[in-house]
Amino acid sequence: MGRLHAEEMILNMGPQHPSTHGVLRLKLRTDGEIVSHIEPVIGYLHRSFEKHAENLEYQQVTPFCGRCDYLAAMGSEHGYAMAVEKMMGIELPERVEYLRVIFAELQRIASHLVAVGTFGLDVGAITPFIYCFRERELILDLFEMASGARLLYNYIWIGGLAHDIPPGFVEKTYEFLDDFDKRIAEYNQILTGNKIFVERAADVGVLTPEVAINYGVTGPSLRASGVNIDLRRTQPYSIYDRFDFDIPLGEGAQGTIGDSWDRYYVRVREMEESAKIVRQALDQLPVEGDVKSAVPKRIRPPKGEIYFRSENARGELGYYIVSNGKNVPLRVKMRSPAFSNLSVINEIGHGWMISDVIAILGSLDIVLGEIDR
Amino acid sequence: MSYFSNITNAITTLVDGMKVTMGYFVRPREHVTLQYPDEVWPIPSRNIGVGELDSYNTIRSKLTVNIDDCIGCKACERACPVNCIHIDAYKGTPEDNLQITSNGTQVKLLTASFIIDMSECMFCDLCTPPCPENCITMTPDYQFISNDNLKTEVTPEERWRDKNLLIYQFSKVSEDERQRRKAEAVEAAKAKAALMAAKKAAAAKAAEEKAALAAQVAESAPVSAEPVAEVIATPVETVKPEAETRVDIPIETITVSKPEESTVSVSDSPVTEASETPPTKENENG
Amino acid sequence: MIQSLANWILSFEVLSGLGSSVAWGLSLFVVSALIFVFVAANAIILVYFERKVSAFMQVRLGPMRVGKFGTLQTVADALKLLQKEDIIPRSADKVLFIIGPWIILIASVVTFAAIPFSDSLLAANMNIGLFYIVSISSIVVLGIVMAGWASNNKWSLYGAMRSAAQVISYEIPVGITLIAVVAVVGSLNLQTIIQAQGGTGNLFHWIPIPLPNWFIFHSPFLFLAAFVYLIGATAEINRTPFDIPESESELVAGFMTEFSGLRWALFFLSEYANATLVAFLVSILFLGGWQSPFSNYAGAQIGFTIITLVAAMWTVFVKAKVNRLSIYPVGLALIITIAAWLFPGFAIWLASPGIFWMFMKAGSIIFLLMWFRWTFPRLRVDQLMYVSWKVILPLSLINLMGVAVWMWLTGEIQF
Repeated sequence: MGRLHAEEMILNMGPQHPSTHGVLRLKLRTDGEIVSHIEPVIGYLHRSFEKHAENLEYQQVTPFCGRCDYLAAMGSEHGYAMAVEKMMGIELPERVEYLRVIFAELQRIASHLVAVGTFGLDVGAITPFIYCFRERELILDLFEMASGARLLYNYIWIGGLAHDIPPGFVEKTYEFLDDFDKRIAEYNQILTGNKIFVERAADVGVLTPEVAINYGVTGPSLRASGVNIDLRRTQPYSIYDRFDFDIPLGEGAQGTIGDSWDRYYVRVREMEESAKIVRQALDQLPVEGDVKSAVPKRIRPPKGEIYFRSENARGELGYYIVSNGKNVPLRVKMRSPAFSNLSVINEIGHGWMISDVIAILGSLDIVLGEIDR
Repeated sequence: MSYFSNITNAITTLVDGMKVTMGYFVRPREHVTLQYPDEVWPIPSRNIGVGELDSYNTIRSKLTVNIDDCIGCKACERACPVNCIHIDAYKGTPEDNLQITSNGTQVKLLTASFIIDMSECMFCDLCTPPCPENCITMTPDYQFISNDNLKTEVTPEERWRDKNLLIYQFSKVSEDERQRRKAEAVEAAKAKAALMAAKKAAAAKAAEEKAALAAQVAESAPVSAEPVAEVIATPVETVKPEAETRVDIPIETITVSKPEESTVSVSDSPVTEASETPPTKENENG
Repeated sequence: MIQSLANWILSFEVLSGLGSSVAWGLSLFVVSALIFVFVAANAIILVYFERKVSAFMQVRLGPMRVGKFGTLQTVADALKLLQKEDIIPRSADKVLFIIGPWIILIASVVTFAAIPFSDSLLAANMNIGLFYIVSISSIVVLGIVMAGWASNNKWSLYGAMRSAAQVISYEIPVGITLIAVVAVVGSLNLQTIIQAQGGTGNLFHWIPIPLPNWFIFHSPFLFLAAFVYLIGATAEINRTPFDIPESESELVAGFMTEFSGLRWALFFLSEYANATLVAFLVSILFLGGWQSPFSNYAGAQIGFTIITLVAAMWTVFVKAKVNRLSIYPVGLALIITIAAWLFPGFAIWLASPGIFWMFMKAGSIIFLLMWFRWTFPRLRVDQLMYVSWKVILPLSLINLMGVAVWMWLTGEIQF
C-alpha cells in the first residue's frame, strides 16, 4: 500500500466571519486541526482617515478620529485633542480635565465590556455577552445625556468640551457605579471561573514579554504578560496623577502568565479600576468652570510637529501631527494600538487548533476600524 | 489526584454558573427589552433653546433650520466636514423685503436655496455652534421612516432612490425666483470674468508694446545691465516645501527581567515637544 | 398499539369488509403519520420554548410579536423556510447533498416507534426496544458526514469530521451506562423497564426517606449513571457544551452552512427530535417514565403538602436573604395542595400513571438541556475527546460494576 499524500490545507477565515471582530481576513495553513501559519490580511475597512485629515480643519478632524476606533471613541478624541492642545499650549480649566477623565474612563469600561463579552461569545458562552451589553447600554445612556450621541460623539473638542454636562448626570453616574460592582461579580461567577472557559483560555496563546515588546504590543495585552507599562502611570497626561488606582498585571492565576485567560482577566480587573477612577473624579469634580472658555476661536497651531501618546482601551494611541501654520494640518498620523497588537497573531497563534486561534484573536481585542483607519 | 480535583472543580464552577442563569430565568420581569414602537426609550430632552440654555443639547438627529432667522452667512456650510450643506445667497434687493431676525439683525442677503443633504450628514453637530443667529439646530427626531409615500403614487425608481426624501430644502423662496437669481448670478459672474479677461488682455498688450519699444531702444543704445524680464514677468511666488527637520524621538530603553519578577524599568523621556522649524525660504521670481 | 387500532377500525360496520391485513396496514400508516406529526409539532413547540427560555435567561423577552407572546413565531419561521430558494452549490455532490438531511431526520424519527408514551400508547412493543433505539440513532452520524462532505466547503468538512469523531466516541460510554440499567431490570423492553419502577421505596435501599421506586433513587451508582448518561447524550445530539460541529461563532453553522430553506429546516427538526428522544430516554430509564411519583391519592395529597412546606421554607430562608422573594412557586404548590385535599378525584388523577407524567419529566430534562446550552461555553474538540475517553468511560464502567455489587449487597440477585 502506497503512502497517502497529505498536504497542508489553506483555509480562509474570510472577511465575513462571525468571530473576526470586523472585516479581517486570516489565511490559515492547517494540517488537520493544527494551524501552522496565520497571515492576517487587512484593508477591508480603510477609509482614508489620514488623507481626509489633510483637507479638514483641526476641529473638523475630531469626529473622524472617533470613527476610527468606534468602540472607544472618547479615548480617540481625547488623544487628538490633547495633542493639538499641547502644540498650541492651551491651558484647560480644571472642570474640563475632570470631565474628560470621567468620560475617558467610562469609555474604557464600555470598550472592555465589549471585549469581555465578545471573547465569551467566541468561545461559545452566549449569555455573558448579553449581560455585558446590558451594562454598556447604561454607559451609552450617560454619553447620550452629555453629548447627544451614543457611539460617535464629537464631544471632546480642542480646548474643552462641546457642551457642559446636564443636571442629573452626576447622580445617574453614581447610580451606575453602585450597580456595576455587583455585575462584575456576576461575570466572574458565570464566566471567569467556569472550568470549561478556563480550559479554553488558559495556557492558550502565551505571549512572552520579550515577544510582546518586540512586536510593539501595548495595553492590556502587554500588561497581561507581566510588563508594567501603563501610560497613565509611566507618563501621566491630563490629571491622572491625582487618582489612586492599581494597574492590574497578568499573574498566570489559571495557567501561564500571558495566556488568553490573563488577557481576559486583566480587562475585567481594569474595569473595576476604571470604576474607581470615575468615582474619585466625580467626588472631586469642581462645580465652577466653563467648559468652552478655553476653546480657541481659530485653531492655528504654530509650525511644528508633535507625537502625543495616550492610553486608549486597547493600548497606546499615538497621534503624530505636523502643522505648517495653517488651520488645516499638513499631516495627521494615528498610531493605532490594535494594529500592533494584531501583528503578533502569527507568533502566538501558530501551533494551536483553529478553535484556539479564534480564542487568541478574541483575547487580543482588535477593532478593524482602528487597524485600517 | 489532580484528576479528581479537576472533576470536582468542574462541577462546582459549572453549577455556580447555572445558578446565575437560573436566577435570571425566574425573574423575567427584569428584562431589558423595549418593545419598539409600543415602548420607547425616553430621549433625554432638555430645552435646547438659545440664551443661557444653549450649552445643552438633545440627541443629535435630523437637522432643522429656522429660515426666518438665517442671514445667509454660510458659517455652517464652511463648518461642515462632509460638505452636505449647500447655500445659495444673493445680495438682497429692496423688493425682496428682507426681514429682521428674532435677534434683531437686519438680513442683508436673500437665501434663495438652503439644501441639507441628510444622507451625507454625519451628525457631528459642528454646524450648530458657528451660527450667529442660532437658527440651525439638531432635533431629536430620530425616525427617518416616512409613511407618506405609501399613500402617494411613487414610482419604483423613486422608491428605490429614497435619497431624494433625505434632501431637505429649507428656503421658502419659489423655484422660479431661485432659478432667476441663479441665472442672474451666472450672468454677473460671466460679465465679471469677461471684464477681467479684457483687462488682462489690455494689460498684456500694453506690456508687449512697451517691450517692443524698449527692444528698439536697446538695439540702438548701449547694452544696459537692466534686466528686461523685470517688466514683463509679474513676480510669481513659488513656495518651496518646508525644509524638513528630523526630530529624533528618543526610544525608551526598557529592560525586561524574567517574567516571574515582572519589573520593568523605563527610562524617562518626556513627550516629544514640537520643535520650531526654521522659516522657509520663499523663492523670489524664479 | 397497531393491532388494537386495527381492531378498532374493523369494529366499524362500514369498514368491517376490509381484510384484517388491510386494516393492519391502514393502522400502521396512521400510527406512523401520528409519530411524524408528533415529532414535527414537538419541534415547533420546542423551538418556541428554546427561544423563550434563552431570552429569559439573557434578561430579554424573546419573540413577542407574532401571535400573543410570540406563540406563532415558529409557524411563521416554518412558512418562511418553506418558501426559500433551494440553492445547491454547483460543485456540491448533488446526491449526497439531497439525501444527507433526510437520513438524519429519518433516523431520528424512526426511533420514536419504540418509545412508550403511556402504558398503552406504544407503537411497537419490541423486546429489544432499547437496543433498537441506540442502534438506529447512531445512523445520524452517517447523515452528518454526508452533509458535510457534499457541501464542498472546507468549513463544513471540519464540522462533519468533528461530529463524526464526537458521536462515535460517546456511543461507548452511553451504551455501557444503558447496560447498567438493563442489568437491574433484566430486559431491554422499555415497557418492562418502566413497569419495574412502580411503587414507593427507600432512597438507595437503606435510607428511610419514602421516594418513588425510580432507578435514579435505586443506588448511588445509578444516580451517577443518570448524569453520565445525560452528559453523553448531550454530546450525542451536538448540543452545547459539545456543539463544536455546529459551533456558531467558529464555523458559521458547521456542517449545516450550505443548506438553506427546507433542507435546513430538516436539520433543525432532527436536532430537536434528537433532544426529545434523549429526554424521553432519561425519563424512561431513570425517572420512571409514565409512572406517577405518588402511588395512591393519599400519597398525592401528602406529597404535595410536603412540597409546599419545602417551597415555603426555601423562600423564607434562602430567597428572602438575597432579596429575591417570589411567591409564585409557593403559591402554585399551595393551590395544587388545596385542590388535592378538596377534590379526591384530582388527587387520584395525580396519582395515576399516564402521558402527563411522561411529558412532565421529559419536559424538565429538555429544560435542563436548554439551561446547559445557554450557560456554558463550548469545549474544544480535543477536550471533548478527553472527557469522553478519560472521564465518562471510566465512570460508566465503574457504574456497571458498582450496580452489580450493589444488587448483590441488597439481595436483589444471588450468586
